[in-house]
Amino acid sequence: MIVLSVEARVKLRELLEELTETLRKASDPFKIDIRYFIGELEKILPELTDEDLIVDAEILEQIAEVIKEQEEWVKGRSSLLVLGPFIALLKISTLSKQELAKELANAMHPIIELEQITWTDVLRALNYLSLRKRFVLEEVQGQETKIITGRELEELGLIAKIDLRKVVEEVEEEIAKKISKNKLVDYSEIIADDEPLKRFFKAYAISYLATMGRISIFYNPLKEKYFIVKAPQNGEYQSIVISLEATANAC
Amino acid sequence: MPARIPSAKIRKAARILLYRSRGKPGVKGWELRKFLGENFVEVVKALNDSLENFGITIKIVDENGKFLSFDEDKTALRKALFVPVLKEAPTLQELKTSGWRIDDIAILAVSLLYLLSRNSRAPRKQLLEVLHSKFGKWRVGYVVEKLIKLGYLEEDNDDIVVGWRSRIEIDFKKLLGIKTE
Repeated sequence: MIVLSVEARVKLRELLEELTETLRKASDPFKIDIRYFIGELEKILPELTDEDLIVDAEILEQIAEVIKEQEEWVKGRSSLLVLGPFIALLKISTLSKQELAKELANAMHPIIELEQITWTDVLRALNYLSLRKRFVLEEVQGQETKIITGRELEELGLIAKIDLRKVVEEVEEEIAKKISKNKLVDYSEIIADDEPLKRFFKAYAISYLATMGRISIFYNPLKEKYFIVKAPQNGEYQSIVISLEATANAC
Repeated sequence: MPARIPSAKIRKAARILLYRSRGKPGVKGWELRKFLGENFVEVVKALNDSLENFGITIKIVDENGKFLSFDEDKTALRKALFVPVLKEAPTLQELKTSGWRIDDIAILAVSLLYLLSRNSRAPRKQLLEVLHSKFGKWRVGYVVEKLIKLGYLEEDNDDIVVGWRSRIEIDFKKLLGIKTE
C-alpha cells in the first residue's frame, strides 16, 4: 500500500509539472488536453493519501484556470465575430475623419525605426568610393591616352558579352506571364539561375524595369521575401536595396 | 535566478533592432541568434526591460502575424520576427509630427475597419467605393497605393487584404472597441 502511494505521489508531481509547463508554453488554451489530465487524476485518486490531496487540488485549480481561459477566448472570439463587423461599419458611417483618425491612433503601436547611418554603412560607402577610383583613367605624362572601346573592355573581361536589351525583354516577358496568373511573383523565382553572372543581369533587368515604372517591387518581412507586382498607376518612387546573396540563399 | 546579461550584448541587440532601413523593419530570430549567440532570447528580453523606460517594447510575430511571447519554444522564436514598437499609442498630434496627414490616417482607419468587417479581405473595387463615398475621389487612390507600399494593406489578386504592418502595429480589438479583459 505504501509503495503504491509513493508511485502515485511521483505520478501526481509529474502531472503537475507537465500541466504547469504546458500552461507556460501554450499561447492557445485549447492546446491543453484537459480530458487527458482529468483522466490521469481519476486513475491516481484511489491511491492518494490525505497529504497528496493538496497536490491533487493544485492540479484541479490549474485545470479550472485553463477552462476559464478557454471560456474567455470563446467569449472574445464570438463577440469579435458577431459584433465586430457591425461596429466596424457603424464607425465608418458615423465617425468624422478626425474621429476615425483618433480611433486608429489610439489602437496604434508604430514600429520604431531610427533612420540614421551606422558606422558600418559609412565604412561600406568609403570602400565603394575607393573602389570606383580604380576605374578613373589617370593621365600619365609622356604617354598618349585614348578612349577604350567596348570590344577592348570585353577582351579585358571588364564587361560581359551579353545582350542586355534581350535580357530585359525576356525578364519582362517572364514577369508578365507569371503576374497574369497570380498578380504577384516571387523576386527570387525570376532571378533564379545557376550562373551568378546571369542572375546578376536578371536582377539588373528587374531594377531597370522598376526604374522605368513598368513593374513594382515590395517586401514582406514576415515571409522574408520580395515580390514583383504590376506597376501601380499612381504612387511615389522609393528606392530599395535587395541583396543578391540573400535572395540566392532563399532560392 | 536568470543569468545576468552583459550590457555590451544588450547594446549590440539595441543596435541590431533599432538601426533599420525603412523598407525592412524587424529582425528575424535566426539573425539575432547569429549576432547575439545561443541565449539571444534572454539578451532581447533584457533589452526589452531596459526599453520599457522609454515606452518601447519588442513584439515577436510569427509568419502568420500571430504574437508570440519570450517563453515560446526556441524553434518558433528563431523563425519569428522581432520588432520594436511604441508601447503606448501615440496621440494624433504625435502622428502628425512624424509625417502622417489626418486624411491618410482616416483612410487607413476606414480601410482596416471595412476589411475587418469582411473577414480581413475585400475586392479592391468595393473598398475604393467605400473610401470614395467617405473621402471623395481626390487622393484616395494615391493613399491606398502608399499604404500598400508601406505594408499596411496588401494586394491579393483583385482583393485588398490587411497588410503585415497593420497586423503588427494595430490592435484590431481596440480599433473595433471590443476588449475581452
